[in-house]
Amino acid sequence: MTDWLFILLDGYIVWMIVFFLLSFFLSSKRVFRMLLFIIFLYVITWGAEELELVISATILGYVKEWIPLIFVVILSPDIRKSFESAFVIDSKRDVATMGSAETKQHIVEAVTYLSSQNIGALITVEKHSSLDQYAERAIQMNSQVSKELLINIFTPLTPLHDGAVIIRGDTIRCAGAYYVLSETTKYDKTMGSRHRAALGISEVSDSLTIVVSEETGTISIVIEGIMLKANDKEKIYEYLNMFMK
Amino acid sequence: MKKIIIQIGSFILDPIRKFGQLKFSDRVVSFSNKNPWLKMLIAFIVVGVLIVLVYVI
Repeated sequence: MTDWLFILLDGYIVWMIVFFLLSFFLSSKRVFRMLLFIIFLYVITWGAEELELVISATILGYVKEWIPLIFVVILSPDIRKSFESAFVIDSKRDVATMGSAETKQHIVEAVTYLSSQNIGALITVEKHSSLDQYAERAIQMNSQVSKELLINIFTPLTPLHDGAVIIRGDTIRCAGAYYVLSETTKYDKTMGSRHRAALGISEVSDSLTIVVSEETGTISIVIEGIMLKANDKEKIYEYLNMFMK
Repeated sequence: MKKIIIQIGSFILDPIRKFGQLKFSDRVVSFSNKNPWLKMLIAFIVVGVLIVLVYVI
């Protein structure tokens, strides 16, 4: 009986270590690229040693000794961030809570109004992937979704207008959120930062983002790195209905 | 002469550049972000394999 308890305890500790390492290496593209580069270096070094390539094996042998130190120095901000957030409980569980028909209606009406007034807007509807890491750095709201509130948030010259609103279920989680801009070359290079931000968040999460252009008032829906134009109410409602099932 | 050097250099670098263009890391990280359960599942599998190797075999 006690043996089983020790095995369970052992497994529990190892699981936490493995999960922490996986979370760290998959936390950003930069960290993962660095991991791939290090694996590549180790494989090349091993190959050079096996094939007895004297010069390469010697040079790579020296490089190999310094890899752990280089790794720690380059990724120190990411390592610090991972330790800080290792035991922070995400406010969102893996179950996606989708908004009601009323919420969809409010979003559609707010977006079409903002479009008619040429007011820029960026609204992200969360699905399974948590957007807490963006929400934490923004202005917390936790208020019921309403057309009036959304319009107010994006009204120019107000403190919250320059950023994204994140919607979770029927509530506005936060306003003034900032995303990492997409580096995609699929779309026009003159595309504004609001659209690039929408593409950026859609590439790293399964969310849906609605963008209203400040210059032209056009409405775009961004999902899975794809941007679609949706200029009439019915179309936006259709997309929201498909997404918020 | 400069052109030849550039061509030879590009020929050597091409396989690495082509691998970079696949955006393998972008795809993996993006998939992991969209499927948070995956990391947990991998951790469970790793622990299961380790326990079997250490305690059973």
